[in-house]
Amino acid sequence: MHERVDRLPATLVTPDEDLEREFEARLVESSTLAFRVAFGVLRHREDAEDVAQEAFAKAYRSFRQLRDRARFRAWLVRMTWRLALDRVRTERRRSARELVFESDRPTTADDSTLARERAERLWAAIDELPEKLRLVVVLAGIEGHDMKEVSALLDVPEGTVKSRLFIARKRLRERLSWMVTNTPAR
Amino acid sequence: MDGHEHSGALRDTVLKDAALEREIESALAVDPSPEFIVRIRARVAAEPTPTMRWYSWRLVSVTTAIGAVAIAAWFVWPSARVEPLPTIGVSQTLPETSVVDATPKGEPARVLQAVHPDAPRMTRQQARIVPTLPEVLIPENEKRGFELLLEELHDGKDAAIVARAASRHDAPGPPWLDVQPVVIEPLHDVIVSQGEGQ
Repeated sequence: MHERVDRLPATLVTPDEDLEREFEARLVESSTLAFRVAFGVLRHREDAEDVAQEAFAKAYRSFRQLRDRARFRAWLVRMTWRLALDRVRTERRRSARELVFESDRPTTADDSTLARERAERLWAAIDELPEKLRLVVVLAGIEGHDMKEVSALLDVPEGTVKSRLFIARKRLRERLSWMVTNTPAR
Repeated sequence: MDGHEHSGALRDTVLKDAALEREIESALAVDPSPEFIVRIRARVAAEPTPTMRWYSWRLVSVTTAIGAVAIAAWFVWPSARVEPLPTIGVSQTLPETSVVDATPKGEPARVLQAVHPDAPRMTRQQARIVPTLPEVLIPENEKRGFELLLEELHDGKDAAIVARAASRHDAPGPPWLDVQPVVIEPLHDVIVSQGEGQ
């Protein structure tokens, strides 16, 4: 009996501890997603990290309402996107953007220059898209999200995601026709 | 031939789409720095624990909403307010100093009921708050005349009433109304006469 009572505090978890533990789990699984969403807008690693960090701080403040995983991720994506757009608007003067292009292929000097140019053109084309289309393109491009996942993240029907993605890709193809025809096969 | 061309175009589109997807995915395949999560943890640790904040916020908003609805109902709902009508059903006994007896001699004085019989009676507390105003007694004949006037107005005889009133206006008034106009003399003569006296 005494043993059982002694063991009880160790097994009991206060609501606050439970909350902290859940938030930690969300942080681990969604931090890269938030960073990449911010990076899709800012294309600057440090800025993207700052924005994602701010989004997590806001999420923590409202975490009681965001305990559901799907709801948390959708909220986080929207919040990060909005914060990143706000930062772009307030820091338009920032001209030097860090372009990161990672590839598993061995790169030569020519290859790197070409890759940088391709990335620049790609982002320029994505930036020209309307916000709704841009968000769908970025989310679909992160971690290979499928339509269902993007629709859950945006809280819109799957058909809407499909049509937005179709229009966005069509516009990007038109803008980047030179690139897609010369894409090296992997 | 056409079918072959179409399938070729379709294949190109698919290839282009796939290539485009690859480009976008590789452009977004950027990982945060290793200390990214550590910095978020530090930032979150500095935040206050979201324990009861949400509940307290909800409590405040719900209380405010209920209060606002109650105030709105008070102003909008007419039956919620008690009009401070003077001497509504307080008592049939009249205060001695405030009674004006306009009844002709020989006729018993009557108190006219000023409110509808179904009107709610005031509580003792309300009656204490309402100041006692002097009650006016109306002679029976005047009351009857007023009631007739109201009946005529109700029956649509208002045009005839107006015509009758207009004809009465031309009739001469009672003799005690004939007052001679007051003549005001200029002050100049008075001042001159006073100066001469000095």
